[in-house]
Amino acid sequence: MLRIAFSGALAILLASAASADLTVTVRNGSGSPVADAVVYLADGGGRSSTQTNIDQIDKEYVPYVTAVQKGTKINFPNHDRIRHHVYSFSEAKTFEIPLYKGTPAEPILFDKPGVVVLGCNIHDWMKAYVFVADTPHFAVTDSSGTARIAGASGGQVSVWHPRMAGQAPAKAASGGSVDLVIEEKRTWRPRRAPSAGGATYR
Amino acid sequence: MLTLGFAGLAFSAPASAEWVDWIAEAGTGFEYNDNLNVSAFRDDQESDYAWLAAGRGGRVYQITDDTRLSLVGEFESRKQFDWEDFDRVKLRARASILHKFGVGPNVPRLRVHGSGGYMWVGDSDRNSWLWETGFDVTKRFTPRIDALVFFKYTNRDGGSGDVVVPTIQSNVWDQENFQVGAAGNFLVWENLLLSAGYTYHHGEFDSSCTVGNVGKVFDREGDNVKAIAVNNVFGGCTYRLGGHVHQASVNLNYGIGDRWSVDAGYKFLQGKADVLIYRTNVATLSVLFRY
Repeated sequence: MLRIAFSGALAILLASAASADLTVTVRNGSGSPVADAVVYLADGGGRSSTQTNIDQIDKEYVPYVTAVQKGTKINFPNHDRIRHHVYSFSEAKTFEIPLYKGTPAEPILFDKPGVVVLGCNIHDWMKAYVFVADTPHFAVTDSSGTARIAGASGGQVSVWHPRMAGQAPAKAASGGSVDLVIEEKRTWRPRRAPSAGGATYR
Repeated sequence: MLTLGFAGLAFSAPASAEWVDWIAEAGTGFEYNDNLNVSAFRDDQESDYAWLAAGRGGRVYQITDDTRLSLVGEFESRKQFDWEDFDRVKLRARASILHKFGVGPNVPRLRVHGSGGYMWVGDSDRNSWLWETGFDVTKRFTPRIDALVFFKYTNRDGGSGDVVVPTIQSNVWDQENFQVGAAGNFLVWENLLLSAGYTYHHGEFDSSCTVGNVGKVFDREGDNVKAIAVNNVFGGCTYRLGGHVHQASVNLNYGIGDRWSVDAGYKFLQGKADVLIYRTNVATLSVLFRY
């Protein structure tokens, strides 16, 4: 009876350890929370999701930053009533989906770790990022600068953000949470708002 | 003719070609002009404020992955504060073809356009047909900096006023112009766009002056006065000259969200006939919207 009780307790302990989440908070130099930061553990095996979506809504990519594990396929559903032309020249993934409406028949496979910058050949201001991780342990921060890496309670946590300046900070996590601070730089994208000169893309 | 050419291109498009986008833009604002009558004589120059309103609506037809045709109707109006004879409404139809030389934000673009329309003016002698054709080449160098060069031909086909000198035509508002220019845009901050441009006009322009100054115009310009008509708007005559105009402009545009912006602009024009010089300063403050 004692053995059964011990085994049960151990199983519960192991299960809770396995399902523990690591909470990561990312702030900038002035202490403000940073949204859309990718936080990830330096190493780890296994697989997470194998397919996800990056939508096009009102001439913008949604979400702005997507993190996937190497080997994930991404669909690019176009929810607008107009056509988009998705492309990337990034080393981690160079591809093009010429003008289309709806959802392309074939998703795009992201099979190399790194950062992929997405653009639209019709609407210059449309920009988004795909962070292709070499690990299944990653998450993207919300507007409060917080992300939860499922199934992990410790390890070396790194961060990436489109506006991050300098080296990626890494910190050992313990006790189920860790705070990271990044230095931000200005990034630019063509402006969408109208100007007196009119829209040259039209 | 140009529009027919565009239409021909559209009909010869591949099967995948289709209407892909809408154009809906509007703007309103105020303008100050310190030489509304484009007079060469300081004692004749009249300044005024005007309320402006404009709109564009149309559709975009994708011909190939890199080439699109847009067909747009344009409306433009101004209501002068004092000189209501200068109130005007323009309606215009425009066709343009934009070709992008590849994929990505930094590849050059070529736009060829043509338009035709009519302008109603408070002083109906100035009512005119307006024709325009031209091309521009745009290049983005970085997400913050882009530039364009352009060429434009404009033709204004107006009526004739009352004859002043029997040996000189009175079709003052029949004018032809060639323009070449360059402009650049610089994103100062994420929402603040600074634009500057220069245009060289070669051709004809009109000027109005009081009766007292008409003699001086003939003294200095002689045969270069190509037409002259009685025009009571400014208490004298309006005449057409051959010459050129240097135009410099600067704009500061602040984007409010994705669809709105506030634009402050300044334009300096210096026209030069054979002898006389015509200087005009124009300042505008407007709110722009694009759907």
